[in-house]
Amino acid sequence: MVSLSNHERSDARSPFDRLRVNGNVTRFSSFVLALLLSASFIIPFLIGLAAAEEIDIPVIGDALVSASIGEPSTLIPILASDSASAEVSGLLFNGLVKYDPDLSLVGDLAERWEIRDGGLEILFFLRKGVRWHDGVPFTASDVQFTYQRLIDPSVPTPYRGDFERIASLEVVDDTTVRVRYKEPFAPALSSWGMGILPKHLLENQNLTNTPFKERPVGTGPFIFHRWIRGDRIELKANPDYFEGRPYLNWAVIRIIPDQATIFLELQARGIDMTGLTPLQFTRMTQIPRFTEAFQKFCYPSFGYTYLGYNLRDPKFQDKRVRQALNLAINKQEILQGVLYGLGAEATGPFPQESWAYDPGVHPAPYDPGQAKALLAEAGWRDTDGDGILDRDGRPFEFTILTNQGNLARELTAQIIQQQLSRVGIRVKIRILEWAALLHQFIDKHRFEAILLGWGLSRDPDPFDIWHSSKTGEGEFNFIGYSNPEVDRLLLEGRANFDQEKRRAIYWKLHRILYEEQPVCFLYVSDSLPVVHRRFQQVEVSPLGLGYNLIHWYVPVSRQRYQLS
Amino acid sequence: MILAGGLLLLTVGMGALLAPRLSPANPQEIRLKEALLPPSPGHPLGTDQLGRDVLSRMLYGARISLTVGFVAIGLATVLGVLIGAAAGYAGGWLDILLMRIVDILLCFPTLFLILAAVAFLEPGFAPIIGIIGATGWMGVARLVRAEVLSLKERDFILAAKVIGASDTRILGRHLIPNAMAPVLVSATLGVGAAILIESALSFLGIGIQPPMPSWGNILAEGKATLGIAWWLTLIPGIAIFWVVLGCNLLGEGLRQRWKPQ
Repeated sequence: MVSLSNHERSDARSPFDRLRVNGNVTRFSSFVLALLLSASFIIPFLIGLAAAEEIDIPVIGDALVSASIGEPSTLIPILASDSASAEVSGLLFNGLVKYDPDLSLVGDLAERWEIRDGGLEILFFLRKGVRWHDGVPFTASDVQFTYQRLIDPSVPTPYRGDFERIASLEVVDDTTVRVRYKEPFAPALSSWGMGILPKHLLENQNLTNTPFKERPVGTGPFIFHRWIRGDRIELKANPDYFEGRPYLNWAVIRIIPDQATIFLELQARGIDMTGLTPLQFTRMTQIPRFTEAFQKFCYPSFGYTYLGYNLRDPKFQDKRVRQALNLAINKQEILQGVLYGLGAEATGPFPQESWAYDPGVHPAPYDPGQAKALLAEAGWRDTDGDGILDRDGRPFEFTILTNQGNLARELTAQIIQQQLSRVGIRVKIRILEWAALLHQFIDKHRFEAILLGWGLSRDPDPFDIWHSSKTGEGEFNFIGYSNPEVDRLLLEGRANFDQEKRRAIYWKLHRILYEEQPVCFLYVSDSLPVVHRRFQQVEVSPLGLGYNLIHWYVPVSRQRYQLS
Repeated sequence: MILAGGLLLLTVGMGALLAPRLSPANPQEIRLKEALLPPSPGHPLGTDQLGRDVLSRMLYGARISLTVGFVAIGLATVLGVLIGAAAGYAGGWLDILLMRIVDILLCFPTLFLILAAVAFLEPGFAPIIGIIGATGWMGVARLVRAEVLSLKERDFILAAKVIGASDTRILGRHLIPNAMAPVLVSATLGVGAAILIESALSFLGIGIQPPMPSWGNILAEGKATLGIAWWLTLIPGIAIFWVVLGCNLLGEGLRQRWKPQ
């Protein structure tokens, strides 16, 4: 499942404040306050105390308060197209399958499955005894219902493509589902990581406008408690979760649309977990006071940041122009200046960690001279001597849109603006609030260029992002890219089960997309999450942090928030 | 007070006027190798995250802030005087209509009115001026209307009417000039408020768009480096304080001089 990311952080759910539970400040609040006032010397002392106790037995209690820079636009998993929505709905819902830490697919709501008929048929055997958060049993008809919603043209889901390959879905009995595909479809199994919806609550309802939106009911490790718009989402532990009750009583996601404010909150102990910016990571968190309280992590994120062009715009239809832009944008300067080296140059639609990434694609070196030559070839010359290239009397200028609150992107936009001005292109920058950017501009294709990121799924199939059939409103190919060769490779890549064959196809795709430059691939940044040290069993896997959230616990002596 | 306020504004005004001569560097030039340098002889007020010279940005930012302040309040004053004078002089249904509109607009806190307006426009230099102007005239209109109401009963207006002066002449030559003293005071105070609003909007990211320097967005970018680069927040903060204080002192001084009560 891919998602638009408004923040280079696809798996950090984060940090804290004095938690209010049902309107009551926790009993510990005055203690917390004292802690704040003299945090510098009390915290090491407390840590010493806890270390002496050394309790290794997981216990129930406490809350994890994380911060999200963007407000989720929806908690219904099949509608969630942005990372903020996907992260929260991932705690509430389960798919039939999921990835385990070594990146193989394991059962989630499905206990096991059989793949038959050369991959054309999957028989899912569902877990028995799973109940929705409202107590109603989960059955095969919920899977069928979710499938019907996914292929219903009136449901605005970006994930329809994966499910349109299905010829039939049949409920064999309450715990068995038979899915038949029209043709071999490699991402078939992983596409069933999609969160399953409860039929009994959503039948005959319009998904975009149902009370369920405000009160989602899933099968996941956490139960929705409440959503205060613009402030926080509170989830409580699901005591009957089929993989075992989470040790933490609460998971609270605070919505703080600004990284600097999140960082202040982190230092004020209002947040337990968040993603840091590269500047915060390298220069503002080296002090013992911080490292004694928080554990920092650094690993490559599974996604990339890019400058996308609206290919419906005549300016960007000439490949030479896009190649020139790529030569005129110095990615190394962005990597050093914005990411402080915590990242790598992106060269295509797959991150370096993916098996689909072709290491033979070498990024073209920064070359403004060559860029100018290409632009001149495409007819862009400075004929009126104002320093700006023009063609047919119109100057080469465009506006880059990006989302608010992500300083790395704001700074990147300004560096690109200066770099492009050196080759005679005038760039304007406009920074918009995430939901407005997504719904008013991206979905409606009202942009010239956008600075955004993709958070990618583990299966590399990038069909939804690049295929020419995915250019409708709210779909992921919003740049309007269309190339018959790419379309063919995308179809071929998903029709093959042999990873070696798929690799060859995706390497070819990678090379074509780099050559064609439908977007300028900028960088893969590192994820830089921090977690408060009182949480135990915090592990990083290739899936990132938080995959084993239900196993996190806090020793009794260090618990901060009490259930009221 | 007038002197002190005037001096404060004058220093900023001179800085803005002479920005191209006083700036040690191009305010928009990015030099990543010089990022986040503390104040030094080469960069008297340090550099920001992209290595841009903060003094240069402050000076050019002063141009933006002062232009927004004065032009927006100029606009608001012209609107307010015209509407207030029309309401006060004409009276009757026009007065009632205009004053009810004023009442309605005054119900909303200005910043919210502006935030609502910004949602419909592309943020930028001219729209910000327009919006601040268009949402700042109501106070002036009330002030002028009240002045005009009392002035129009005076004998010299009666005399003007008797000798056959037209309405336009009475308004333009007699009523409005006589009502100007309180208007000037409120405009001076308004300039400070407008600069504050511009800074707030830019701070929130919906005012002047980068890389154009404005005090508000220098402050906003500085907040990301609060712990390690104090000069990025302290300097624009002091500048905003400085100019708003200047406007308030000048306005207060003028009020005391012209209206001793």
